[in-house]
Amino acid sequence: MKFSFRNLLKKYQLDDFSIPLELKGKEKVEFFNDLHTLLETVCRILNKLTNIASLRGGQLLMSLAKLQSESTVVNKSDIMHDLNIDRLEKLLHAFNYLENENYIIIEEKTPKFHVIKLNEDDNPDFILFKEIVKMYWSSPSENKEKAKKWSEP
Amino acid sequence: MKKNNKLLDLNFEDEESVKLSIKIMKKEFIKKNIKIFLAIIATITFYGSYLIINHLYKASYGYSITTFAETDQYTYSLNLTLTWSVFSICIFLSIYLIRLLYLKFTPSVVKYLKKEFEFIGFQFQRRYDSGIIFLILNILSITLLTYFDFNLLYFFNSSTSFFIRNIIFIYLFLSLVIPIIWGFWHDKFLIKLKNKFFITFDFQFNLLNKKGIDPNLIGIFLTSNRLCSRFNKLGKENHREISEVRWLPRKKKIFSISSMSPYLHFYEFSALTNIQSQFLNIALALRDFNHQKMIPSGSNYVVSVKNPDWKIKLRLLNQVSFYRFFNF
Repeated sequence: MKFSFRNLLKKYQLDDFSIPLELKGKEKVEFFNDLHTLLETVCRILNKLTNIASLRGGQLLMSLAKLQSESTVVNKSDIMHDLNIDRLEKLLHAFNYLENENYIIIEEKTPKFHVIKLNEDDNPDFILFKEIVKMYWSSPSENKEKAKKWSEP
Repeated sequence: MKKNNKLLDLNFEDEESVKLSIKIMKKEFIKKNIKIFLAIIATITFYGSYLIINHLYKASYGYSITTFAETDQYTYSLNLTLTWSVFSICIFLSIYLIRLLYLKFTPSVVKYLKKEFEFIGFQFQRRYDSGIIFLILNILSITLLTYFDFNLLYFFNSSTSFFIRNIIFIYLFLSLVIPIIWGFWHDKFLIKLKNKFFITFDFQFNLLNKKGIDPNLIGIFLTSNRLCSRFNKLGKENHREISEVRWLPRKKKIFSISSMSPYLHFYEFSALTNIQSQFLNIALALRDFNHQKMIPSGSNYVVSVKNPDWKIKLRLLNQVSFYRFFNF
């Protein structure tokens, strides 16, 4: 089931303050079920992230989700810079692992230019994952900028 | 593993590299400890030899090795000066070297950390304050003792003389103890962030563990500078809230002098691989604390937000939080 937080807001018009939220009978049960699905999906995401065996796999997935929601083309170097990593070799193991697990799709445009995408077709939970990451996660490079800006005299 | 300037590059990206890196660290750690141990023995031997030679010289010739002139009234020697110099340097060096045994950073680890932090624009450095303090205090002590040796200063049998003599004894004692205590507190690796904000690093792992080394447990404890007194209610509340949001441990897991401090600190633990992210987490916690401190206490605030999608939620007292519920 493809679950999206954006769809949930639209369904109950939660972002429209001119309409009061009134739920009766079946609607209330449906709302409860939607909340239940939301939490269940979050739990599944957590479970998947914690079971990624590659050391930097989880961070790579989060970085990809964030970059993909901002740009249509994401390559390996974008992720490397986003995670503050100095050498691409440090991420190769994670790329291979995630590709084998079918979490990401790597399209080899040229030998040196690889476009990376989240495999949303096989993993519909990535839709909610992308929404959460986009809204609440700050990437290591963003954190670096924040810390540097604050520490500068 | 790259060999560069005689130091090897550590790598923790896969199992094989981790094993190799631990092997290097262990080798360096043993080498460093042997060097320090030999230096301690050499220092103690030097001081012992000085005492024996001086004693034998005195027994043979009737005066100390440092005596260079004698009149009917006075003996001119550098007895006090030299004895104190050798004694204080040996004690300070011995304790300094013992302290180095507990600083488990090996050259390769330092190189690895320097590189990691340079990449995100911060400088990983060590401060050597204790040596300078020891030098300053002891130059004063030695000057004072030289005056006594040359009979330029001497005591009478009066109560004032007795008082001054005791003050000088106390000063000599403190000139040795203060740098040692200072060294235990401040002789650490750190990263300076802003004004009074900094983060210190303790590498806490027994590389000589006979049961073997679990690479996941090799880590670094990060401690922030003191934030405020434990009795400051607002500061304590801010500290609690930031620690909860950023998943920072509220108590220091390892024993140290700073863990008994009456001040609040932020603590964090990091493995060597994720040192950057854990460092940024504690650095941003300090930034949050600094920003919260700047909000005057006692009332609620309405904050104008440029982004219309941002919704503001006012919370307890002066706590302001932003929630981007609809910021797609």
